[in-house]
Amino acid sequence: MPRQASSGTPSRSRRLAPPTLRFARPGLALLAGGALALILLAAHAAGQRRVLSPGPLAGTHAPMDARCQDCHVPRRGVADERCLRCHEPLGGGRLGHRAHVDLAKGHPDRPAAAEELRCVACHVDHRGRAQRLAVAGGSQCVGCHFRSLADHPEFAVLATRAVEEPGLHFSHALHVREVGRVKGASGTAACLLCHEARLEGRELAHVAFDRHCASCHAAQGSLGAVAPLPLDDVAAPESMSPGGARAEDFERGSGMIGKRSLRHRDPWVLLSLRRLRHDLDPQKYADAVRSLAGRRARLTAELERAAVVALDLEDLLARETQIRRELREADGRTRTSLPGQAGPNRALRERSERAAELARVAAEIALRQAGTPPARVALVSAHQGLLRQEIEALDSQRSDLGEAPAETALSPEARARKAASLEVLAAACKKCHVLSDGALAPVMAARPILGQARFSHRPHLLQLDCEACHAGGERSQVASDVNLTGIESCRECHSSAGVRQDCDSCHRYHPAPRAPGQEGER
Amino acid sequence: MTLPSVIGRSGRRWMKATAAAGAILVALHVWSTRSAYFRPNSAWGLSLGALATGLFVFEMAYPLRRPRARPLRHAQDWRQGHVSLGIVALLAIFLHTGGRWPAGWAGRSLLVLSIWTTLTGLLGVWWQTWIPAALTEGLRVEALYERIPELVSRLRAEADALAAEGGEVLRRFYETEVRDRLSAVTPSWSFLMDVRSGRERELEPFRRIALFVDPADQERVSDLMTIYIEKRELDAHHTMQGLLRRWPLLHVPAAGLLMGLLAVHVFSWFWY
Repeated sequence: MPRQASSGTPSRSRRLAPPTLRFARPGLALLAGGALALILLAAHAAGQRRVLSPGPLAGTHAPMDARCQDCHVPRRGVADERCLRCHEPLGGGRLGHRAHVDLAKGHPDRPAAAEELRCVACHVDHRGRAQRLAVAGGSQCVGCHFRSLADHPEFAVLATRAVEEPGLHFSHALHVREVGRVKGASGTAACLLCHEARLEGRELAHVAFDRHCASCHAAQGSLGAVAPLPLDDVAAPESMSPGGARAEDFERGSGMIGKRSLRHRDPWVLLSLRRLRHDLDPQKYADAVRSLAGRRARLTAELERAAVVALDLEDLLARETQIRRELREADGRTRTSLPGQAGPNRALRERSERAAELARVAAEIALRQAGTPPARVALVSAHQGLLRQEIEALDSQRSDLGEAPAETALSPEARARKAASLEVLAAACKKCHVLSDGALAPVMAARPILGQARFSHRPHLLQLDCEACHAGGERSQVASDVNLTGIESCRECHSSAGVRQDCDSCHRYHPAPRAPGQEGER
Repeated sequence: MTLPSVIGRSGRRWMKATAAAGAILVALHVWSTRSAYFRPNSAWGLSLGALATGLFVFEMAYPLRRPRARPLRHAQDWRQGHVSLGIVALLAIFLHTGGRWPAGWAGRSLLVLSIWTTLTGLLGVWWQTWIPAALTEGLRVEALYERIPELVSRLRAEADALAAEGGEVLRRFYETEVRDRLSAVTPSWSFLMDVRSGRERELEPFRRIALFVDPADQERVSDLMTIYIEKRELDAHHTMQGLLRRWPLLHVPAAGLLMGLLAVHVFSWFWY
């Protein structure tokens, strides 16, 4: 009889046995996981910080890879003051969100009412050495702004037609014609003769008289002459600093003085104009002095604040004690000031500044006590050097203002004489410049008009002619013409299917750092 | 065997609930990130991380389903929950990373362990449902895993006795081509594709030798074929049941390490 295959094992069970491997038990697995956690935490406690690191820092932060406390505050996360210690050691709030809101120059209360954004909201590290921390990505912008270039409003300078007065009488049409005739250039080549490309074409240099205009307008090195004026109305050439005025340029006689040869930005003319202006309007002189003093005081205070990150621990502790004492005094002034007096607001502002500085000093002390060395002196001294240059420039402006005008009011005849002298003095300047209230208006022509954007001409010049975006320049008769086609011309290339259109390709979030001699943006 | 039949009716309900939960999570993610730059430590990112952590803790509590399955009704519900919520936890992890490959070793390990644990878990679900059914439907023999070597040695002894009774041709055929194949259990990955894998090809020698043996040995050749088939089926049982027994090695230790790293990850977030 054929053998039949058995259908079951002798003494068999119909159920399959459950897994019985000891080393796959959950308890043991959790034990192994717990052991791993303990090992990692022990390594971290022993100083191996990288075991808990979520990833390598960006290349610029690489030296801090094993010094977590340089950025992180235990149980608080990354504190902004840790970032600002290196990126804004002088303080000032340039890198805060309120400074960004202030860029719009809207209602003055908006910056104060704006919520602060932490640095790490946009700048996220621990994503590897190749990461570019400065590039935050435009996706954060859509929280307040529009989504794409298609929704971008027309440029404010075109939408409102509110252009800063150029301070110049200038006809583009005339110059395009004449430059073409004299230099034999046309189109983009003609434009670039005056609007010189610099930094490999990324920027166009400011039009400067000496470089771009003098070849035609001061062919013999002189812009003209100044007709004789009463000597009492103008600055004495001898009173000017060496090199400011050459005696042989002047004609004198009978209490009158004239100048044979004028150069651009003639220091004697400018000083004399300033003096006449102050004689005619003493209040303006006082305002100018007060403005300079205020700016100097702010810069000096900023210079003192800058030193905090470079002080050693003893000096920091002493500074902290001093600030606390000043805070108590400021509190006292706030309480004792009566409503309606100018005191309370200033006291509150001082208290707020002292409190902010106390926070910076306290943060610095905490860092030092955790073992972080002081900030590099070179970092601080570079910024301090810029501040000192600004202060020197202000001091120079103050000395140029000269002495205060006489306190006695001018007689009508003296006033009329001085006003006439002012017109004579500025006659040569008025061919191009605008004289307003006795002062030459600041020249703002050919300056960037898209103030909140950063624009590189280079890639555009490589692909387009100037007329593609600046149509109408050859017909423009006045300097206040904007000669810009508008946002629509940008959208021809910058679109979702074309060239990049993310926000940071044109805009910067943080205001630009100020240069020496320039009132900084806040 | 189709997927719906593997999952079963209650399993299909759980899968639908899982799909719905996943869709809601993705929709919330898209809505939360529509106007803000996503970061794992943003409010939404932390919510996803907390959700995944809570779900993983629930997953590790799976052994608690016996002896009591409260708060879930049955151990079966707990099992379904273990599978479904594990999938949701993995989705939450993906969303928590923001679609980025983590830059540090800890983050990468966490992500890899999460994926590995979830995938091996799903593999276990598949095997635990499909293997017993495949063995039952495809094979005639049933056997306890631990007794399979003993059964194979019994089959060999039976085959030895059968061949000894036969003629010269049969004995030579048995000694050269059959005995070695009966000497030990022979597991093979091919049984995963087909529990009867290779059977027809391996029976060809038996059919061939039947043409040459004496008529008296024909029945012995047929019995040897039956013994050989039984032995192959025991091989299939050994392979497939072995997978079911060893599968937890892939899943459980990785889950334990995942929990350890997760604890370190949560601590480092709190501390830093």
